[in-house]
Amino acid sequence: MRLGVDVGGTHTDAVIIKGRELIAAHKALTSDDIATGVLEAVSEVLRQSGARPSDILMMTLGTTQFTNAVVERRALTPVGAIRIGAQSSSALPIAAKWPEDILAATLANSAMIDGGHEYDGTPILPTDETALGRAIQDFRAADIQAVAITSVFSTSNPEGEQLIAARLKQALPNIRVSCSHELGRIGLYQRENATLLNAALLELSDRVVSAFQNAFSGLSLTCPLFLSQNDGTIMAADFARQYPVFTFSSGPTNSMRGAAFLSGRSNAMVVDVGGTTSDIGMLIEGFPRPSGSAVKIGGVLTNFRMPDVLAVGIGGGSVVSPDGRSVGPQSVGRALPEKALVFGGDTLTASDVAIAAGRTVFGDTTKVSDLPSTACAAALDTIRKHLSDDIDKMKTAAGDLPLIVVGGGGFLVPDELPGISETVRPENAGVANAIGAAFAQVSGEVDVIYTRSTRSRESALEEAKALARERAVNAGALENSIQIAEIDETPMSYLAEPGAIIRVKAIGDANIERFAGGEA
Amino acid sequence: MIKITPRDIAPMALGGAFLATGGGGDTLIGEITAEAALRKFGDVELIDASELASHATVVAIGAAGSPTIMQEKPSNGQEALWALETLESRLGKKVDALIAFEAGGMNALLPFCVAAERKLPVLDADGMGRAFPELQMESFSIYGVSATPLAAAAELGDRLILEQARSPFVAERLVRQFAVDAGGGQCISAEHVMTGETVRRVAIHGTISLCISIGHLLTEHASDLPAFVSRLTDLMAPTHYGEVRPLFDGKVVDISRRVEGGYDYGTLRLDPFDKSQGELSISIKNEYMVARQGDRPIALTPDLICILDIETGRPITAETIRYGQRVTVIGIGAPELMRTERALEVVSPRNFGFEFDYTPLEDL
Repeated sequence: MRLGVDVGGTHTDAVIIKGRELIAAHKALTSDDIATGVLEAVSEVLRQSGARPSDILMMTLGTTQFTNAVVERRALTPVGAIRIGAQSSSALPIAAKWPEDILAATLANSAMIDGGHEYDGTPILPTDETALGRAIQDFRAADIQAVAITSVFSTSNPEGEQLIAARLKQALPNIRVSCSHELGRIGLYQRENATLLNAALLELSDRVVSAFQNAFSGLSLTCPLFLSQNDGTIMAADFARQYPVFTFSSGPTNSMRGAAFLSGRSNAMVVDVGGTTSDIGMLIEGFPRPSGSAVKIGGVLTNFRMPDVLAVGIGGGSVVSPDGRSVGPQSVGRALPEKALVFGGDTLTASDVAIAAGRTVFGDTTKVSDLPSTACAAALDTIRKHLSDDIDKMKTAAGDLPLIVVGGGGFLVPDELPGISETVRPENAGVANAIGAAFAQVSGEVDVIYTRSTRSRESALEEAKALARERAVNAGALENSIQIAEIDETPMSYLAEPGAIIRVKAIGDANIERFAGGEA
Repeated sequence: MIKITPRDIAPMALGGAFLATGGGGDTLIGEITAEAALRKFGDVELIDASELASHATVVAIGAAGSPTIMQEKPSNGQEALWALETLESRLGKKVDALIAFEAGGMNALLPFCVAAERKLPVLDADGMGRAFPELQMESFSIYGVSATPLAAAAELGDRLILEQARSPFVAERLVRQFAVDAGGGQCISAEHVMTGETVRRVAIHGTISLCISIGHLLTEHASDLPAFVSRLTDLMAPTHYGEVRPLFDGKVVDISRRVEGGYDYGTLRLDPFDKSQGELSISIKNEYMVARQGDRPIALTPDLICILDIETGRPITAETIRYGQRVTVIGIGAPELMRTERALEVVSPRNFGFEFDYTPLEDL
């Protein structure tokens, strides 16, 4: 059996699944300290299922704590930044264009030194050891606890970053270090930003992961613990300690992965209708389609593998105008149980309209029985039009796809929509996110550049596949279960010779045995 | 003359991305580095060519090489200075003002970094009025200014003087090879030395301040593109550009792509919102080059075909446009200098492999 937990802003959901079967599910309120709410939800599903702790073979946890720490600028460690490759990049300041408050909370000290590599992995200059020595002295004097190291084209050759990480650990034994080649893809600015945020979160991630591990030990759960990442896969807890930024935005991803699991569909559109907004996304081979454009976290631009999710202002609590022509984006939100007409309130909401039209039943239906039917029809038509436009917008090709409807406000979605082959409404859709967490696999991703003169496309592709597999194993995948899930080739224009970036992603099952016992 | 401050750079980058007609690279790195340079060295004077003495020396400056490499190696800020100084020592005189290769994209911003450090003015003008992929497509070359002597510099201090090339095309090839060998795929070149009198004749004027104004308009009307188009029409009416014509509102329904000889070729198909209209297809060769409804062309290079994302109000590059995006397509008549017989010898549809001649937007 597997245990899945999703810590959201309001609710902490836990589920136990066995094979493809949902054994138990519980929604608890998220507690201020996170761990209490998690313990409550987990204890309850264990009780419901009658499972013994030893029956649980692995646990997966999705949490927004690290995203929130960045957004709210709290629990961040001031970081020392080292950029290698000053001779090729010093016109671009470290942490340029960051909002001032997060800059103040994150960046304590910085140094740019010569070194780095070309796109083909050859060194541009040797790392400037004298400048490095000065930086180490400065960090020691400033009592820096965490360092972010970013080198030019470390995506092609990580040696410069590895050398400096080793030197730092030697000189400052308790230092925490993040290296950019482990975190991001090509694009120095965005990758450096991600590395700085990751370094600033290392102390918090250490505490949070330990707190979870201790809490689960308290329940006699000794199986391995994994954390959800933003691309819909998971990483071993001790890997997550070092890479907290990979947990950013895992909530919507888990929800979409759960929708895939519950519906048995792996290529489909998904709509998750909440109280205020609907999140619309697209599943390709069971995974959310990653966003093509840049993603900002707390005002900082990164290049993470975020799911492409469109949030639209239609939800169960959306405020409806008296004539029904306008629905949302204003919503009564969490006050639905007081403000909606069916609960004796004075606000006409999307839920009231759906109840009046007989789409669903809750609250006191007599309170909406004399709503004018033309207004109800107009409101439902408005919702239908919004959703069909927005769902269509998220599709990547013409042609019909199934639509999986999850979330508490799913009754707002009509059964028939243009471009939709069928509407699937799975049971237990309310805990889709925790199910998505429980069901996830482990991945590794890599970018490799090649040009015709340096090597063949085939050798570059083989290297990329091998590296992606290696990264998946490091993140906790079972070696013989790994498959290459994605190969993406981006040609580089304006080079004197043809070249391309090859991006490979490998995915495998969680290696439960390797992490059993000691680490979790 | 107007002062360019760090606050003008973001709107300049946005307007430049609009005029880039889908090309010109990601402007973010150019925006960050130009802002940083102006903060460090001070504001830059943007001058009209009429403010230059007839015998003043003007040089065009910009980046050559791969925009992908620039994402990782955004330069050390000195390459442009080195290129300029190398050219100055070859000429035996100091340069009086700088001019951008192209107003579209990253190269619109690049002269400002070195201008700030050297306290040089930048001309409110460029050599394309948009973005095009090659050196010989600059109006400077078209109207007879030699690209050489040309100086190029790369990050480790390697500097090149190119005395002469038999054609601008050969000069372009040699600079690209230098970019690969000395700069790991990129370099800065200073070229097209010309006098104040010449630049008044051969440059496309008013384009940098136009970028800033377009950037402000786009920010102001990001969520109301019809209002943007109407304000843009007023803004461009007194310029050298032709008509501003809203061409199409619709959704991207198909993209096909291939890469050949360093060029990104492709075709977009767009479905109209207004079903009484026909489907639109746009052919790409790095930039949006030709827009057709059925067999009928509705905009042709060198006229500008600009695509804006209706959701965000931002220009979309040809590399990043994707299925499902809701877009507004705007045609703009090219500046007069890019529509002459001489210009059409290098920037007409035939130069980009299409089997037909140029007809101005206004006559289609």
